[in-house]
Amino acid sequence: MDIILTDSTERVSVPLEVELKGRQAVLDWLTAQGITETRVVDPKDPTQTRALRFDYTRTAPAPAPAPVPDAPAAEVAAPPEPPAEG
Amino acid sequence: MAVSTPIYNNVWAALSKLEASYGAGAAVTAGADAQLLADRCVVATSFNDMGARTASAGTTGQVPNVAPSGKVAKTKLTVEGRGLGAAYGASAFPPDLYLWLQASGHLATLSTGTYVFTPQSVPAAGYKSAYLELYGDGMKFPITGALADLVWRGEKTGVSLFDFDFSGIMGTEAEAAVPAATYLAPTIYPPKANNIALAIGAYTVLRAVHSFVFKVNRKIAERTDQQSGGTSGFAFGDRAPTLELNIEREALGTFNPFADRDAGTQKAITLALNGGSNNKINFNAAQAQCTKIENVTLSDAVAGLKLTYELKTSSSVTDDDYSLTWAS
Repeated sequence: MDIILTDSTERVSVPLEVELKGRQAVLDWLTAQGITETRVVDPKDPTQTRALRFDYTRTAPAPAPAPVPDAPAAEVAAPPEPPAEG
Repeated sequence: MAVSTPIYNNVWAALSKLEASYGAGAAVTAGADAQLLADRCVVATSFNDMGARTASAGTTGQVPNVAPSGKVAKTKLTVEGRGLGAAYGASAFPPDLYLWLQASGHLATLSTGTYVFTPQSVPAAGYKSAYLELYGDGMKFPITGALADLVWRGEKTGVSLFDFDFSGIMGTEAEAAVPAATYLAPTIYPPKANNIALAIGAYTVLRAVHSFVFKVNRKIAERTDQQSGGTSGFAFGDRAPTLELNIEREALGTFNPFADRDAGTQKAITLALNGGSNNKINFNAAQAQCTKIENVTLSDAVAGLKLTYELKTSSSVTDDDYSLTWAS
């Protein structure tokens, strides 16, 4: 499932393994991405149990990607071969 | 005289979940994963090789087969086209077809309380597949790696139906009673096709609409495998979506599909079923070309047209030939 944020055109893909864990897992994952789900409640619904729609907005920046392990030190360039005598 | 008790087959159920990887199966429960079927499910099992051997040398009979391999299943699962009846969200889905629309090669997108399903072309994360656990005839039929072709039809003025023609890897049949399933939003009634809104280009259809049939026509090819017990399941091929409409003929000065057909004119078609708040299904095809017209008789005496539209993409790199929307 992809989610398009309400206040931008940003598209966020919910990973399948999260979606498979169920509804609460999806909401937790969105929260971890800094995305808040807001219910826009129907004013005609006195019990306010139903929402007219859900808005998705980013309220915090997306978490930084996992650090990449240190790259191996750049190889020191070998000194140029001495010119062949002749 | 002693009489036997029959095994009944007039109850059925389908439990289903998307698979984390193709053919992996899934753990389903009757409480969380039941999809409400509109019709009895019938599983047709076949093998891609029955183990037949070469002709018998000394008789005109047949020598016995080796055990068959490549056990696959085809089944048509039908659900009603209906909405949730409450706002859609990351945890509130269209009932019964949210998973299977994805397993029929569609991307589900949630955008401000609306679910949109668009066709996919070789997605980077892979196509989604379903695990099906079907119950009927007093038996359980487990099917992994299930992929579906899709048909949406509204015949006469009744409830519209979605047919999912699944192909998958068949497991072992077992004796099992139909589980006591919990369905999503079972009290929400589906919209009927008695006040659809249909527009073809600038023409809003004002004459009687008798039926519509939308077909994705997605190819599903079997992957025969000399490993893995004879089959590696199925793979999606190309799609060739069409929309067939049976409508009463309009004066050609108002709506002329013959001229559209002859000129290859592209028209935007919208078709909407409205069952009230959060119970709406909208179909949209922006580049529909009329390729076939049959003059037919409707209601015994009325001039009708059976129009076949081929639904095209706007370019060779966009999946915008059609979309299905569950709107708020």
